[in-house]
Amino acid sequence: MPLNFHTIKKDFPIFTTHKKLVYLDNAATTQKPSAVINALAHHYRTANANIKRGIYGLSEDATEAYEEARWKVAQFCGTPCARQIIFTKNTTEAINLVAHSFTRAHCKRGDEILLTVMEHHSNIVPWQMIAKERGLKLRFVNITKTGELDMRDLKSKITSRTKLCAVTHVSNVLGTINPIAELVTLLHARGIPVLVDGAQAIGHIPVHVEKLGCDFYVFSGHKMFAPTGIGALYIHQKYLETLPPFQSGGDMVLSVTERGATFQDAPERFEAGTPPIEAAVALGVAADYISKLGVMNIRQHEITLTAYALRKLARIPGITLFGPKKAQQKTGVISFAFNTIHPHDLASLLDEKNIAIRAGHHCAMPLHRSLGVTASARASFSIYNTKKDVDALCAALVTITDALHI
Amino acid sequence: MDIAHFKKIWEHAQLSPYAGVIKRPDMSGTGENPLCGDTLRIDLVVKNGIIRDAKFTHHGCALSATATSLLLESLIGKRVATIQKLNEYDLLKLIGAPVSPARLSCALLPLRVAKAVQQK
Ligand SMILES: Cc1ncc(COP(=O)(O)O)c(C=O)c1O
Repeated sequence: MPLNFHTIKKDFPIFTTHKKLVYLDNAATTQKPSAVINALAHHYRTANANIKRGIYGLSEDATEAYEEARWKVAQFCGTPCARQIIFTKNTTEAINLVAHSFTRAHCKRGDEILLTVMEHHSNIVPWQMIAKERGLKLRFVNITKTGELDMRDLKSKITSRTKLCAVTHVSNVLGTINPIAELVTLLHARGIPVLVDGAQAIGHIPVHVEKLGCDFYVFSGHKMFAPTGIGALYIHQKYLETLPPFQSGGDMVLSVTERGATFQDAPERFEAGTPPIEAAVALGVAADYISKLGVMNIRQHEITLTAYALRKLARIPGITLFGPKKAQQKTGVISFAFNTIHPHDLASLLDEKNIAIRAGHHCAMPLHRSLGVTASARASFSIYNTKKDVDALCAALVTITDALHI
Repeated sequence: MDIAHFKKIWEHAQLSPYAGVIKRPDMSGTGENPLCGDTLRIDLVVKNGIIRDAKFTHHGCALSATATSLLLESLIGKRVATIQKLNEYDLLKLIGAPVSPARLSCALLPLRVAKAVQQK
């Protein structure tokens, strides 16, 4: 059923509070629908207690809500087994978890981790820290001129010491959708497991971890209409029982003596301390919200909008668009340079017109370096954006050029 | 920032007489804005503790370029030691246009770099 993307905006109260807001920074975080906002309040009003501790009804209700959310997230990203979903704070924490636990169990001095220059800092810096600590080597796969992963370069950077490849599903700057299934096949054939950073993919394109075949998949709730403070890590069965814990403390142990502790199985083993219970519950609700709309419908809407924006922006004099030029090859993330106006100046000027875009390096300095710029301006779409928003952006860009006589 | 204020800043940045390098500076300093990777270099000619000339090279936004230009203009003829006495308020007064919290690090970059200039 085709959806009415003009009425969807009504699901998001922020646009009632800020009637003129043109929100084009969805790659940073999405707005929240009433369903998610209400779920937070509903949980506090009806089921608030700590989980897995109390032997009383309310704590059991809270535990049940939390575990139901885990199950929903598992279904949402394509595994029938809820235990394979670990709740984390965000993408960053999930990557840190794998960086620590995986390397502790599987890497020796001199081993290599394969990354790409397309990565967000959160998929670079944790590996740099670990590499320093454990004497590992990082290798970076380059991108092509059109902003795609250079598969030839990738193959040439695999060695007998490559122990893991960590790669983004979708670039947060270029919107490039990487061929993960193909990449996983290639790497698995050489015995190399794959971590996929799904922060920019989840909720925008279909994500099915089992079809992708990856070993780890990570994402943040706040980029898929859920609250901040909750994210998820999918772990393949192969590693679920054997990976050592990351953080430690309460809730993840079986028993503790003064001399040591024994640990629970996954997922509890990886969830030390009290988690953001209500945020997890709301993440489950956000997953339901997306499923109800249909990820394919969302994808179709974003393709239409992105194609329109690419076409319209390309006609503005002085604009340089980065990344793939076809909407089918990318998500609704468009980064650009505009005349000689610095992205920060541009964002300030657009803000005057209630247009919210992102300016800077978008936590991807190596990628910007490979594009030959220090910063860019970025517009990114979600389901509540329409052609009107694109028109507003384009009109504002033209006005700015006129006012500055460039 | 509204377009009228920005236009002044933009034009100033384009026309600044302080843009450039000094071949043999007595003091210079460099710095960057960690938020966006913008870089700035300030060169000073200093005679008997007095700043006689100043130039900057800059890769970044118009706001930080203009802030630098205005700062250097205000420093020429003053003692080097006065740089250390300048604060955020002084620079914002010089800029004159409203600077939102998000842009503060752009506007204040020249102050940070100026305070860190070293004898060559
Ligand atoms: C591709 C990518 N990876 C990782 C992250 C980090 O997400 P978070 O800050 O929620 O941990 C982001 C968010 O900006 C992203 O776009």
